[in-house]
Amino acid sequence: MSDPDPVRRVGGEMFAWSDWDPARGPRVPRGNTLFHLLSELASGSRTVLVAGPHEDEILTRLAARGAAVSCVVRSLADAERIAGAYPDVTVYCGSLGKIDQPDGFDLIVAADGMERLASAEGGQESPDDLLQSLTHLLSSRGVLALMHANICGVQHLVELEPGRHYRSDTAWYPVTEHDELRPASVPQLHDRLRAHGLDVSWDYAVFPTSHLPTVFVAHDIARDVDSPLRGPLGSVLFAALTEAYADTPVVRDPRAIMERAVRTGTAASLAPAWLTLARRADATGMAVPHHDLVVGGTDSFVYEFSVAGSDIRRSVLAPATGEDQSAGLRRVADPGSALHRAGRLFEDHLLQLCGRHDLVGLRAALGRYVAWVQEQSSDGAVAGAAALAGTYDLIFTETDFWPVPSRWAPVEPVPAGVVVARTLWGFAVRLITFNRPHPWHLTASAAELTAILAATAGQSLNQGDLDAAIDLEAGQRAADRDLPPERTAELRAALAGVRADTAGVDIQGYREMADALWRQEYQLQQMHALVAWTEKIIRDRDRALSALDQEVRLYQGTRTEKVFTFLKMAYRKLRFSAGRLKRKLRRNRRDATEMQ
Amino acid sequence: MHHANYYYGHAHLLARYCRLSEPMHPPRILGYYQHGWNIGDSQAAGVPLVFGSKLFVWSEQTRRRAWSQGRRNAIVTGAPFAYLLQMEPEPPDLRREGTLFYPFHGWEGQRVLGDHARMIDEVKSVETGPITACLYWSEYRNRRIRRQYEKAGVRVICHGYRGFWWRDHDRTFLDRQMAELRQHKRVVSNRLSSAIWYGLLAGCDAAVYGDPMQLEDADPLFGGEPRIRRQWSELYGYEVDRSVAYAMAREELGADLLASPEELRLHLGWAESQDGGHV
Repeated sequence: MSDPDPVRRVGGEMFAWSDWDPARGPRVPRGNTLFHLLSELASGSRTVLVAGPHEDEILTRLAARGAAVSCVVRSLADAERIAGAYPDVTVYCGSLGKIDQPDGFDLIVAADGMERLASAEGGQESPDDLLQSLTHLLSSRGVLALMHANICGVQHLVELEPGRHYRSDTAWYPVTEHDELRPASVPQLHDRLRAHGLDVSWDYAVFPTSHLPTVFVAHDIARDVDSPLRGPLGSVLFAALTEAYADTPVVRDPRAIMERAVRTGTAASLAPAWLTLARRADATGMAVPHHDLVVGGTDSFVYEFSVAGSDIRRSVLAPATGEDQSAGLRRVADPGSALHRAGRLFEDHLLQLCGRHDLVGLRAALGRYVAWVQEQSSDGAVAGAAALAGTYDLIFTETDFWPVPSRWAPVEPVPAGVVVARTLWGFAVRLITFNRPHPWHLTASAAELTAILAATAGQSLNQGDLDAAIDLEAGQRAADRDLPPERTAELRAALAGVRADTAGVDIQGYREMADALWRQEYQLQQMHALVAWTEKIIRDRDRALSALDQEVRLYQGTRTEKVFTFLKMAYRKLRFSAGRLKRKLRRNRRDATEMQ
Repeated sequence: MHHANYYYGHAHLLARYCRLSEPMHPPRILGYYQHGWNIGDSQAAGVPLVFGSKLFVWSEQTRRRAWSQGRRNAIVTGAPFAYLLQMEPEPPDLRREGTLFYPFHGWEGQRVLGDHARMIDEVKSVETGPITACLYWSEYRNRRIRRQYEKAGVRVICHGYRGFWWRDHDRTFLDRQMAELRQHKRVVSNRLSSAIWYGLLAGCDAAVYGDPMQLEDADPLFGGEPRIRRQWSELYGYEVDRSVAYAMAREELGADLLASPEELRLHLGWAESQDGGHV
């Protein structure tokens, strides 16, 4: 006989509520990268508890590892929906602390953090109570995977949402920076876990958001400014933040903040969240895999970069789960594994040269890049993901370049000229919209700057190549964001129109707008000065033209006319000289009077 | 934009380098091209600049200085003379002889106060070969000054008139200067100036010595002659370390930073210009 109520109500269930409703609170955690890391942990687990709201797919992924999966949610409607859709999953509804499971679970997944484990009903548990409840439910060999939001994460530094927690139905106790009871740092979190009998096995700083984490970087790697992975880390963070914050109004572009953080080894301190893997101090049976840097997407392939001596090893952990084509691009299923030489992010290298106004260095670096594109091409066209590798996707080694894997590849090979134009155009756009220093004129449009960059690389930019490059860029952005054709056309127009006073083409930063306004004012001031100067020059040229005209007439006229014109000119000259003399005498007389 | 862009035929020379179809009638330069070696913000003192316009400066040091003076749109493109040397490589069978002497000069609106005769005597006592004196056009037209040099047995030349207000530019001024420099072993002056740097870049030995003379109404803002003497002291004296001086000349003239024709066309606003200009 089947259970008459498939949901185990433990007390504190919420009615008229759903944590899956985006109007009620943040989205539930999802994404291939997260699912892969959690599935790895499930190997060897007999029982798994998914605590709090997560995208349903995690339940099937964990069950596929052979574990008995349970979950706990606070909303009765959510619990009933899950129980109906996944009859093999044990669904608890209510407050976490009220679950009675004497043997505990081998793995507890709390990738949504602790905030949504507490119900609005009944007694309220402090963060430490919730942590204790989680650890209490672990079996003697159990592992806890806990996502913990960072109150100093980049999301808080850039947030520009009016009202903030007042707009969220789930924030009856908002996470604030003033809550002494909630671990505010990684060491504090570790202390609390240890106090509850757990040892921390591994920590990841998680980007770009806690609900769709696509980049997981080990804390040691994030802190190490000399790590060979710094270049790839900068690249993947830039791409992840671009996607996460597309069209989002923010105080400041988070990419600019994370660039500095990567460079200073403080990326983990500014991560939106941390994923901590901890197990019982006396547990020995459960292996916790360690990765240096894991990268994925919503449904794209998942891969890792790991340090291999002074080199970098790239290994694919899971192939893409989606398969489609968009705007001449196809989704890459598996970028393959490789061993790369360590190097520097090409964008960083170029920015250093730009900041130092090093024209010789820029000519050499851009020339090398063009040569590399030509090496990649066959019959003048580049196939595969290399065709889409911009300066933010390329690692620049002493001898070569290599691209960070791309989720997309062109269906047809792209002409080498278009590949170069797209890369240089992208760099030019960032020079302008990020207000970067560079050795050229600051009122240039992206198209002008692209032409200058191409010339610096020893190339002549062809307008057709630039148009095709912007088409390709718009296509890739549209594919990433799954935009409809009309939005793609708008995006393309916006990309093609980047001028000195453009604030940004993807993320709407207030600071970037202020910078753009400054550039606009500079340009306006220049225009006013130029108009005034032009007026003056026109007057002057008019006078010169009149004089020449008079001279021509003098030569063309009859003898009488010539004499007459000559006398007129002489009279004028005389009158002018007499006036000048008179003024001088008057001045001298005045000076003499003052001297007396 | 500015008539000073046409001084010494600079715009014409650059148009030639950029391979424009009518180099003797270059289109307007969108900005101000530095027209002489400069210890200030690249432009002559008192030149009214249109705010925010591009300044094309010779060296990175000048660009830094211009930035420090509030000029945000300075682009290093190098000295036109350096482009000329690049276009006209030195002939292999070149024979150099004697010294080319550039007495210090101001411009038409300034007067130089000093003793030419004493200067000539000093140059003659130091230099061993034949001496050529290159006078500024206004001095060259002054018979009294010219005679002073001629009487001393010095060959007197003038490279031409730099032009003013879009008229009468000597478009081959620098060609003539290059040809003269290449005929001489040494280039000397009583003040460090463009000509000394040009001479070094053109393969001459160089030296700066003698009475620097006074410039009437000289602008002391950037330190004037005393500052030049301190900052570029390696160039002063009867004998100068050639390799050191040559490296300095390359830097001051931006000889290692010269733009390609394509780059220069874009910077000067000539990208679309295959037609001629108005000068």
